[in-house]
Amino acid sequence: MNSRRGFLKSLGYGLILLKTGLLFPLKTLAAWPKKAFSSEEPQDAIRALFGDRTITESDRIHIDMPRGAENGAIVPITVRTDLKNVQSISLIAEKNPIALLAQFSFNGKGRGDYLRTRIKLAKSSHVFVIVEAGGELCSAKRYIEVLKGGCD
Amino acid sequence: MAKIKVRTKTKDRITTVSAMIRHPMETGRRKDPETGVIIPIHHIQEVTCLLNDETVMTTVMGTGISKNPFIAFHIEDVDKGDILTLSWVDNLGESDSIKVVIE
Repeated sequence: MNSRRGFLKSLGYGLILLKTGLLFPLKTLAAWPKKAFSSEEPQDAIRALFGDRTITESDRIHIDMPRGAENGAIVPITVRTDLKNVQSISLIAEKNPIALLAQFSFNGKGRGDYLRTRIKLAKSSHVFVIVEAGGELCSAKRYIEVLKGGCD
Repeated sequence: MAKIKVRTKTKDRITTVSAMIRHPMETGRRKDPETGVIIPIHHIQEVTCLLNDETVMTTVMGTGISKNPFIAFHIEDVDKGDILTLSWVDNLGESDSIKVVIE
């Protein structure tokens, strides 16, 4: 019985590792990536998060965001995707003082098909969304006009 | 003062979790309008959501998330009576957490 339970346990753990694609304990997932959050340029933030991995533009990521915002302090954004096995969704603003806004990671019963939040934008620019799904990186972007910067 | 508000809506065992956290999310660039002194950076760094002690969602965020952060997302295979725990910690080490039973 014991060995069977142990086997099931390790099988379950192995599946979690497979799903997240990570070979270190889940707790470290939540470690705040200081370097990524000190980058001014989107490409530096992306490199800090994903190294030099290839990112492919995808029409399977849908960004719902107003075309214009009078005040950049509160901009609602919704991301939907039908990509399978979503591991994380990262939101990046092209012209903010700090490019990376947030990264949302999903495990187990957490589904990455839908995400809604509110972001700050300093000026008119693109917002980039990077979805990590099934070990691949996919991206989409949307442009928004911002009348009053919201990053002070 | 309730610092976290969580609302859940379940259909076909998929739950939409909507969470709002009361937090100033100070960027460290804003000046106090009266004294002109810079207000120190103060923002949430991590939000974690557990379903029955299993991590389902974690967020790492910087100052680019709006004041009083709002997050909504889906979890699947949810049963009535499951317990959802949502917690946050900020750059000053302050934290809070809330438990909600799925109905």
